[in-house]
Order: sequence, then C-alpha cells, then structure tokens
Amino acid sequence: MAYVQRKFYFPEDLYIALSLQAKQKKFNITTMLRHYVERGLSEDKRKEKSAGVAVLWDLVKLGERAMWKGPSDLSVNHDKYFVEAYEELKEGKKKRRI
Amino acid sequence: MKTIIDTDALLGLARPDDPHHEEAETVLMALTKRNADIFLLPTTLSEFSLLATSRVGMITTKQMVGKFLAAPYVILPILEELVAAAYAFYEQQTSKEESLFDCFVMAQAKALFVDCIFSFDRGYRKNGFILAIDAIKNQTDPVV
Repeated sequence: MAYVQRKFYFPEDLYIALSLQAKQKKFNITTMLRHYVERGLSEDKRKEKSAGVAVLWDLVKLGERAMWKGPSDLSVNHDKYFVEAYEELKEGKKKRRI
Repeated sequence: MKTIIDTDALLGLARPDDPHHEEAETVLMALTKRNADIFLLPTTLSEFSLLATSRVGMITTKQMVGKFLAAPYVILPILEELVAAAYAFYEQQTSKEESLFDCFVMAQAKALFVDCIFSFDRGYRKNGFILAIDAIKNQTDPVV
C-alpha cells in the first residue's frame, strides 16, 4: 500500500485525548489515527446509504397525515396532471400581473 | 443496490389511496432490506413538488421537499454533461409519453450504473432499463 505524507494541525485537547488512548491501548498514535479515520468514513458511508430509504419512509408518513384532494391516480397520469397543475399556476400568475 | 427514483414512485409512496401505493411500499420495503442507495434528481423533485402542491397544498409539499434536502447525498447535481446526455435520450424517443424529465432520469441512471429505476413507467423498460419492481422479483432476500 502506498502512503501519502501530509501535515495536519490538531486542537490540543483532541491530540492529548488521542495520545492517551494510544498509550492505554499500546498502539502508536498514527495507528490510532488511521483506525478512527477508517471508522468515521465507514460510519458516514453507512449513514449515506440509509439516508435515501429513510427519507422515503418519512415521505410515506407525511403523506398519511396529509389531506389529499382531487383524483387519486396521480402517479398513473402524472404527465396529464402536471400540465393541468402548470396551467393553474400560469392562470394564477396572470391574475397577479398588473 | 443503486436506485434512482422517479416522480410517479414518489407520488405513489406519498398518497395512501394512489393505485401504486401498495406496490410502492412493497418496493420500498425490499429496498430497505437491501440497504439500497437511493438517488433523486432536482428535476424529479420539481415535477413532484408542482403535482403535490396541487393536491396537498404548499405547506405539506414544502415539508416533503424539505425532507429530501435534509438527506445527504440523495439529491444529485445536474451537470452540463447530464443535460447533454438527457437530450440525447430525448432525441431517440418516439412517444410523447417519454418526457425530457424521464430522459434526465435515464441519462443519470446510465451514468451512475444504477441497478434499477424506482418507477412504474413501462417506458423505462422500453429503453432497456430495469424497474425496481422487476429487480426485486428477480432477487432473493438478502441473508441478515
């Protein structure tokens, strides 16, 4: 594996906490740092993965609480209803114009 | 499992009495089990928001759209290359039922190498894409 050398600045308290952990676990500080970076990155990846389905379930819940009006075949004929909704929008804008 | 979602699936999920609601929930359950990555284009969200506003009003629609904006990495950016790729798909279409909105979804699906499109629109099948409902039928449940 190729390694990249970079210079980073750490807040002092974070560095002290990391050094202490490294000593207690008998690892060097670089190993500890790699371990935490790997863990943080994989945790982020896991959160990203579940974000999509979670937001869709939120949509289902919001939809259950909403007061829907008009025909229910919105998903089937959405192109037709899109044109209607756009026409309504245009009409509204026309009325607002001086 | 990489999945891109289209407007009809969003509407199907959101509206409890929609003809696709039950099927959409079944697909979402399967995608949840598979820990799927869900992606969405701003064009899809715009189409959804106009339709939802006409049916549930602006306050609820804003709450729905806000949920997507708060979720990291779900909404994909529209880059110049995507516009060109979507237009290339649009030029190939012969039916007015395949809108430019759909072509954006197809272009993004192709660019991302998605496993399926979460939609009930058969036009995607015609263009060689796999619908989520077909993808989950062809796969067994993952071992937990």
